[in-house]
Amino acid sequence: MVYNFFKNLTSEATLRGISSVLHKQRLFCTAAQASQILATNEKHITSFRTAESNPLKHNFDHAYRFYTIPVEVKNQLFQHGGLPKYFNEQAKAFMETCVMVRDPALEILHYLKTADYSRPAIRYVIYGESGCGKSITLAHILHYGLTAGFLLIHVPWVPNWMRVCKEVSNSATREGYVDLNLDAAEWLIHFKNQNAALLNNIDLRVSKEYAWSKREKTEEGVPLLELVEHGINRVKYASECVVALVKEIKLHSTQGRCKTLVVIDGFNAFFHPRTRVVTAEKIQVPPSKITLTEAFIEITKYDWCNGAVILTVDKTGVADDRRESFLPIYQLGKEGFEHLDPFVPISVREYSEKELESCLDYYVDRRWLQNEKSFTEEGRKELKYLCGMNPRRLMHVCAPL
Amino acid sequence: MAPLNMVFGSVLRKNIIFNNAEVLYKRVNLVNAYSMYGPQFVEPVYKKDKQESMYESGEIENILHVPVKAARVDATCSVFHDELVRKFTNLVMRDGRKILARELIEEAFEKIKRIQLQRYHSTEDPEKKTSVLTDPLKIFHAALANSKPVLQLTPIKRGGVTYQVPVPITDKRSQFLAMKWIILAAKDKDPKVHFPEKLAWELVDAAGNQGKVVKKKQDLHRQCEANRAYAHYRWS
Amino acid sequence: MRLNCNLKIPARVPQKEPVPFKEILPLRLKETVSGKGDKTSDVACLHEMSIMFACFKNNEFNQELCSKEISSFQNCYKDFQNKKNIKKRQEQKGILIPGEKNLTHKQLNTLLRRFPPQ
Repeated sequence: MVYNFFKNLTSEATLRGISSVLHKQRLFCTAAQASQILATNEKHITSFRTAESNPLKHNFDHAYRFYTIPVEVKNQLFQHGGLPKYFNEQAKAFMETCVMVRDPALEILHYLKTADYSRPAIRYVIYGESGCGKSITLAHILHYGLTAGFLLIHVPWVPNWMRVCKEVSNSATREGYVDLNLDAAEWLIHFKNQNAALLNNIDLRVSKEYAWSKREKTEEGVPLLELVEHGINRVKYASECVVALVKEIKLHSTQGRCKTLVVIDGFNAFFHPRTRVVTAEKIQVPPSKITLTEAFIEITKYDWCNGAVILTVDKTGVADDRRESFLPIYQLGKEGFEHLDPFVPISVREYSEKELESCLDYYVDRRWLQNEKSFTEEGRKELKYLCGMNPRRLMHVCAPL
Repeated sequence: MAPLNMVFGSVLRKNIIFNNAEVLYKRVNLVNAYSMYGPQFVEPVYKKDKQESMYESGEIENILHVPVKAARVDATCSVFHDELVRKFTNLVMRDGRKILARELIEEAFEKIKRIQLQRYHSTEDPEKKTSVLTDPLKIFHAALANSKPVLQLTPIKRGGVTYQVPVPITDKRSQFLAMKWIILAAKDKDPKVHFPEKLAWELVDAAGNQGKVVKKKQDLHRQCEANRAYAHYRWS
Repeated sequence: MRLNCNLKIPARVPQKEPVPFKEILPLRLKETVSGKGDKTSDVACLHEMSIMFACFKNNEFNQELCSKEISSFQNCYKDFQNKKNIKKRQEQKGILIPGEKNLTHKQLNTLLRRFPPQ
């Protein structure tokens, strides 16, 4: 509600002045495309691109336009996942990683900028139909988190653990629990990659001693990175390391030493009754009996402050029997909903007219749309009809053209 | 032959009845004796621009009040529909799985785009950049044009010996041979490599006048040239 | 068994020379002519083909350099096919042209129908 008010306020000509002119120019540009083959010129490029690649400065001025993620940032954030596989292939073909600035992301960024961090961490749940842009929204927010100096706890895709896990082993410390150690170690590498620079500047120390075995232990007062290193080197204790790390970060956040941004994609997989994780005895393990689950259930509670939690519920991340609806209450189930309640639901919708035009212009600019007919008005109308305004379907429809 | 003889409907202005089997190859669709459609049925015109041109020229009057055959599954009025691609899809199709054939070709086109975009972005020279074709449809057309043989060898038996005689070739057959060779070359691959990827590489190579298919065509031409003496022996 | 076989003589005995002639089929010509003799082995475009081959030989089978020869060869073949189709259509009608030297089997048959042999 607050966001919409701001949005209306910003679109008034008297207050916005230049930017509204630009806005109208962009609309005029799209109208003039009627039956001509598009020519790339300055005015046209600004209609679907923005040079502002710092998400701290993104606001409604840059809405529905593509901004470029710098290569170093991409390598730091998304080396071990975070961007969808096909999106990565597209980025390779376009020689750049561009993300559209859309309303859901702008909304969340606005809330993150204006939230009171002395209050408990707010949970935001992003939901939407398949292929509408939930993961890309998360990527945008991650980039913001990095530039704003947040400590990032990012799980690229939870169903990777629940359905395509690498190695299953029985937990040594917890009775009846199962460890996904290789996945945990990989996640620790990912965490280190994203946060190493920040952790070198902020000095965070381990608050208590952790005894992994008779001879191995992590002492109190040791830098947090060492805990991470230990988990990476000793894969046997990786899952427990993750749990310990997450609890430490929660403590540090509450005490004000760092601000944390928790970003999890496919959170509903933690609450689905079944997984594809199977023990050596061929027994299916529910998520509640996996060690890693505990870590991320902990961090998504509201008993800590100086942080924000952004989650996605995705119906493609769970088994076939729970794909009727994409809404959070259906995907999370009773348990999940009660755990996350209260949360801020953010809906990611299909492309609007402006967004679709912008996307098609971008594809033309990147030489992705090559067919002569796709430059004409009829061709664009046909593409719009074929994709049904769904971003992913548009991507696939434009692929052979 | 009797029913064929009886009524050969001319689509023009009136029904002309012939006693002997006269087939009007020129104007009317070739009549198939086993077809469920009688001779008066007309092929549908499904392309919007062709329809508009027919309205303008007045040709539409011929087919406006005549029964029309049912539309084919792959005859779409889509702006992106291409006749050659449709034919090619039919040749790729096996066991009637048209959707799979179409998907394979769409994937191949996507891969062609990726290959060519990589080449485009890796060259710095602006002249070379403009020469790199990135439109997969254009590459497909170029590949076909470069793979079409100009003449073919037919086996002719004279005196117990079968000679391979070079003989002229119709455009349709030439096109069919080009498509068939491309598909065969694409199938001849390592099992781990997927068909669309191999097809993409074959098309890109053929468009650049390289690769297996163009070589096969040139080998055929060489053989024809070697056998040109047989053609002179008044055989056809 | 044949209708005209002699049952009195056993089959294993060699034939008695000379063998008496028996008229089984009528010793007369048919009233129609078959179409087998009409087929002419007309070879098309040999000249264009040889020019094209010469061009190929010179340019090492590079089609782009021989486009003129190739197009002339293809056009020759197209013309030949068109002429052949027209001729075929004409022949099928069986129309007699006065003063024509080589008649097709249909034309001959119309003549024979008009003037049947006695």
